[in-house]
Amino acid sequence: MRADRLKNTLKVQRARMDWSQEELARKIGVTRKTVNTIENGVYIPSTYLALKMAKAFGVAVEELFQLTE
Amino acid sequence: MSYPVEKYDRLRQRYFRIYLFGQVSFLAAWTVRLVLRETGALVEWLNAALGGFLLLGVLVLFFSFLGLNKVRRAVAGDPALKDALYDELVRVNWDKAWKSGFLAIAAGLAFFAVFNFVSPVKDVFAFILTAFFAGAAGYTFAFYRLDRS
Repeated sequence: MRADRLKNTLKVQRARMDWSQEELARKIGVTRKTVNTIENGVYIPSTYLALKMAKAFGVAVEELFQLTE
Repeated sequence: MSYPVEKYDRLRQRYFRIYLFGQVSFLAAWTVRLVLRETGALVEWLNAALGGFLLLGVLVLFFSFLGLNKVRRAVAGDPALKDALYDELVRVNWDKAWKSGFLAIAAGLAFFAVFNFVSPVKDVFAFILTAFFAGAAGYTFAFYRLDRS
């Protein structure tokens, strides 16, 4: 699946929580690079990692990732 | 407090860059030497110079391999740190890099098949070995490029 067909609100959610990419990476147990590639739509995370991110932000996974029209 | 994974990630990338340099140096010197030897154009001074590059490549590979192993050992005792350093993006990149490695082997074999028409190959084993070296370098290059992006 192409990453440009999936948009995410990671940057908005991070801003809401006042977290840096590194802080988010620490909370979900990945590198900052991984967070950065997901946030920029370069890499589509696994369901497991998407759920971990949603849990860290306290939101539903659909709030983090949406299909583009 | 800074996130320790970032320190090891940077260190891994640095050693991987050195490892790639070693592989490219070795592969280039090896391939040039093989082609010149097969065509009978390998003169003594050039053989010695290429031998120097081969040795440099091996030394660089050895040094960087030790470095990569040091990073692996540093995180081995901490499962959370190890999982974060070798996270799913790294594992996906490994798989993609494998594909590039096999393509590099195929490209190497195709190159030597064409070369065979120009100058019939005498040392077939050396050519097959070179294709495998190209595969290893292709894997390393692909992983390095993916890891940087």
